[in-house]
Amino acid sequence: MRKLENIRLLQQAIACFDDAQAYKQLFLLFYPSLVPFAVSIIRSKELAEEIVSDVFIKVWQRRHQLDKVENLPFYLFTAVKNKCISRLNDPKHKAQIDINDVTFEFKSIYHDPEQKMISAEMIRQIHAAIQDLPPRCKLIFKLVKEEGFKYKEVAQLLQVSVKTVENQMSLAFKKIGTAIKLKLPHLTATFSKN
Amino acid sequence: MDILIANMTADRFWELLSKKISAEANEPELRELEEILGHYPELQNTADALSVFQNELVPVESDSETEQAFERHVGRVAEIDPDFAKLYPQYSSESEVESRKSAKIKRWAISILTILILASLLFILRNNKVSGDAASGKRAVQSQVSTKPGSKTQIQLPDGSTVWLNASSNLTYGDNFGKKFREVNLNGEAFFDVVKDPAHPFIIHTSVVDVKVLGTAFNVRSYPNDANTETSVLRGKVEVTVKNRENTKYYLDPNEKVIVANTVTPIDVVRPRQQQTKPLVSIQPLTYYHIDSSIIETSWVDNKLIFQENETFQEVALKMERKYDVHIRFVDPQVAEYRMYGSFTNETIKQALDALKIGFDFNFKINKDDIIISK
Repeated sequence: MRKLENIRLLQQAIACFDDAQAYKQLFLLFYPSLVPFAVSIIRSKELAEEIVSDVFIKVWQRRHQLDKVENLPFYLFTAVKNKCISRLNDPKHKAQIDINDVTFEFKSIYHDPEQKMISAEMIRQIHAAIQDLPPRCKLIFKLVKEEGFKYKEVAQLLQVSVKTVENQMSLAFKKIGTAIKLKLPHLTATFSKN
Repeated sequence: MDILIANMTADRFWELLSKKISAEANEPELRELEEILGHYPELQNTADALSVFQNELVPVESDSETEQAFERHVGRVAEIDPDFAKLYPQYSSESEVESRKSAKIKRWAISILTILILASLLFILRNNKVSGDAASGKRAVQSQVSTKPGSKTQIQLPDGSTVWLNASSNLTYGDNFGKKFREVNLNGEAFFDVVKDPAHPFIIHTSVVDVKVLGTAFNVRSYPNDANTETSVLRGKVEVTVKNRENTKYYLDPNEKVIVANTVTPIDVVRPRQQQTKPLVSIQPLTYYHIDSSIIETSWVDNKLIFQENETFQEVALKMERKYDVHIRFVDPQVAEYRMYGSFTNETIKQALDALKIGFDFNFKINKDDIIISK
């Protein structure tokens, strides 16, 4: 599970006990989301994988300080972002960052233990609606809902204003909400223009 | 005009709903959202449907692709840090061609290494002879602290950590204490208040478990004649490894204890006839004494002997033997099975038994250090 307290336990096991199993768990936990994030900046899967691996090498080399890191997910994403940007500034890799051009895979499962009213079919529709979001909107939505970052952290990570994050999140919910509303006959289209 | 207001409200609705679901909304915003929902009750369904995003997401289980990525990663780290690959022996299989190539080199390296080791061994042996018995005796230096039945002691370790050693217990540590690890061996029961030092993990070896910590307060009870070995944590984090069972590690939080059966076997042996009702290893919360809410597991430090409702007289007697340095013998096995609870602090053994007699039907005879309990 991706809970911050569980991650803290892994951190402690790595920092204090050089726990190789915990290190592997941490890698498996974050690699699948860090690589697409890096791809969104650097636009090369190969480079992205190398950068994420580099970041995890740093994590191992500095493992004894790891328990001092308060928000490891944010730390990892920031480290990946910084490495990507310094790679891009490298004259050998001149390129432009444009998140809008990148397609983004959404991998998490939305899990609903209590609310039985939401059918598997609706979950599928929600997933489809997310996949249809504009790339920048999808990335912000993913960072908030999948990685659990606060609006402020996402703003810092993507170097945009908190207002931008708010707007993109409203847009995401509007699109997803509208998409499922169309599938639910008993929901009247309150805000449609007619 | 109506449409305009509706559209403005709509945008506000999505903004407030997204904030609420992402736990970013403040009190006034939550109230505003409630108001909008009051005006447009038909939006409630959408809000409910989208609240699925309030739940924790379950990431897709790591697939084989991620596993392969980790394998490549191990290879990359190993180039920088050769020791790293040893942590993951399952990935260390080299390709056939490469291993054949390196086999020759390896054989050479091994022969050279062997010669070097033999030479240095010879050197050490000769050196030791010259410097005499004093030097060889010094290598075996171990500090040892023991307590007799009925007595306790408090010790300070070289790193400043404090240890309270309970009765009939034994703590030893070598002169390499604090060099890489802070290692001690424990037989019996002790309460540790360990000074924080992340660079030098503190390890307690007992016959059944190894306990690894950085800086915490916790209690380890490992008497050979008890049924279980118990590790109880008051502060900080503790790692408990069950011996003979590699990779079974338990991480304990404050107010938790792990109980390991002293008969724990290397592999989970299936015993068809003998029914195993108790699990071999279990994690439980610490128990508080309901009268003064002191923690029972560490009460001995304050000279208290607390026993809980589910303890048998036999188990209580074992604790009394340690506290009072006596021998307790049961004539009637039925009495030994009495379930009792209570606590003693400064009572003598006679006062303690007299107090127990009020609630339970038994008699006792004290003959110096021997106590006989009958019906």
